[in-house]
Amino acid sequence: MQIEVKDLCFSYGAQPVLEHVSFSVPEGSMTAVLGPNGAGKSTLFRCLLGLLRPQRGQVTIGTQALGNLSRRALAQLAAYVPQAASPTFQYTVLDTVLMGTSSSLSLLERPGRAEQDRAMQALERLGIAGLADKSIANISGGERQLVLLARALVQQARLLIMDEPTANLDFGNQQRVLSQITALTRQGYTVLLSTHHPDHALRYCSHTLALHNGRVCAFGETDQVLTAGLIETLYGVHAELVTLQTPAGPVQSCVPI
Amino acid sequence: MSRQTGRYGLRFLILAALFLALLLASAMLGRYRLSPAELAALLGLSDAPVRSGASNVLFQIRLPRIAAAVLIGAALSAAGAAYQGMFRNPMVSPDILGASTAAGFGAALGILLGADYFGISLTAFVFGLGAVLLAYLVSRFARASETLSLILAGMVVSSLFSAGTSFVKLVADTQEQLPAITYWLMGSLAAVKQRDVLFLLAPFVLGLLPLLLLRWRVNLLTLGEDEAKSLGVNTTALRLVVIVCATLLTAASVAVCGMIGWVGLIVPHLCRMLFGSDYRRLLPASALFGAAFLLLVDDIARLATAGEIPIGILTAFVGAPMFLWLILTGGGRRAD
Repeated sequence: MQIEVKDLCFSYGAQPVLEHVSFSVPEGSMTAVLGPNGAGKSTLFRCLLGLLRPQRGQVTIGTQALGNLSRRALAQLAAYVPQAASPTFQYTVLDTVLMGTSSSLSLLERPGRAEQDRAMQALERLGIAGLADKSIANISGGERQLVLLARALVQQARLLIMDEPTANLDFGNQQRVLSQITALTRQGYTVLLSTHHPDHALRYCSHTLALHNGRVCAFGETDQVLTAGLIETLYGVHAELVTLQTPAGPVQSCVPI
Repeated sequence: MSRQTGRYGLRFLILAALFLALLLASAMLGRYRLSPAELAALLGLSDAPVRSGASNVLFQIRLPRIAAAVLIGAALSAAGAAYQGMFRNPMVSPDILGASTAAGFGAALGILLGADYFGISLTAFVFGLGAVLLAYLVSRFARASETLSLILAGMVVSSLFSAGTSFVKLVADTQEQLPAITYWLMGSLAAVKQRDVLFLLAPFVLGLLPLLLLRWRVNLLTLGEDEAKSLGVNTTALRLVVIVCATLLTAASVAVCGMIGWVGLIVPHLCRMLFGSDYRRLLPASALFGAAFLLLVDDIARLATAGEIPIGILTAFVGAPMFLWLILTGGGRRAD
């Protein structure tokens, strides 16, 4: 599912948050959205998910213009993976994942056998089927993030929009979650994720979108656009890109100097 | 999965059995005691002889009161469960949007104007609905987030009507009206008649049925606005349905029996511990548990002493310690 954003403008009152944002990502790509706090990453995502109505511009997902879609139709195209927060109520993992089926059920329908199978498949796909009966309050942050990912898969949308999926995760869980996401893009999912780690973009993301003060300051394939200069512009710190030789081949990393 | 479903199923059966036992016991117990044989005969199940007044006691006095306790217990608990989900807060009770205080004001006004019992119920019901409508309209035009402004508007409306009630008390006749208002506000099922049960029935069905049909979707509201919307839910419409239904249930309950606190807060809490958070189980379980709970408390209210203890006082006596216990043991957040 490719996504195209043209001249998107959004402001809260007189305060512009996004200005003339344009980019287009191909199907099966994984795009890192980089930018300092307040750059407009979350606002961009909320516009793409139809949660905010931009004052100007157009978003096209696949062949459909976002403005004409109902909530349900949009949910079938794009799924949102929020940051895993601690839950108010203790749902089981399976019940949480089942909530992803709402856009494929009619108003009075409740998930049945078929939906349950779909939810179990999604859990198996991410290697966490064993957690199905556990309460989401009693699993680790990394597992909870995977559960939310499973819920997005059950939604059967081909575009996944993720708000800092690795925030609050330990080092190991960050890598595990990102590898799972990379595996999904190989199966044709298109992923947009925001992150505060240039390393994640370098390692996992085919594309990088850099936002600064609500404007696109760089967009393109990661190895083309992610430079020391960009890091300096975005974050105001000196950094150097280094290439490390590892047994698995060369790996790029961004090191602050 | 099947193991878990089985466990919940068993608990539900036990709850249903307890409820049935309570129903039978409540029908027989009282100052005019009915034997099991008499009860069976009165219900047309046998030909055993019955005393002449027995039929009157059962059908005119006891059964309407039992029916009211069951309906109101179920209504308040279901409304509480629904509101807790919608506001994503297990500490919310059904009167959060001011339905109860406004109904209390309506009843006080009815008493002041010399209305009969049915008229009092009617004014209470109308004011209860009106208050929530007012709170909802205010929240629609507010700048803050939908949920927050709804709660704030509910608080304002609620305190406005509670001031109104105080004013009515102030100007009421101290010989007749003031005691009547005070007693009514304490909540009681003592004066319930068949007509009140019929009055309760329509809002009960209209309020509970949509909630039961949509109960799985109430789960989605607990995720919060953005997540629910991104899952394809029309949150504004769903929220409105929940508010209308829960308000119908609450206002009708308060209109018939006065202020009965704690039930709508405690029962969903306990049911969440027994049946989990999923509204597919939580909502029916809360309704059944609430029905059984209020029936039990009302039995205590009429049987424990020679006089009547207002049921609103008893629910507070039972509810407050239970709530303390929940806070101290962290019941709502216990691992499963």
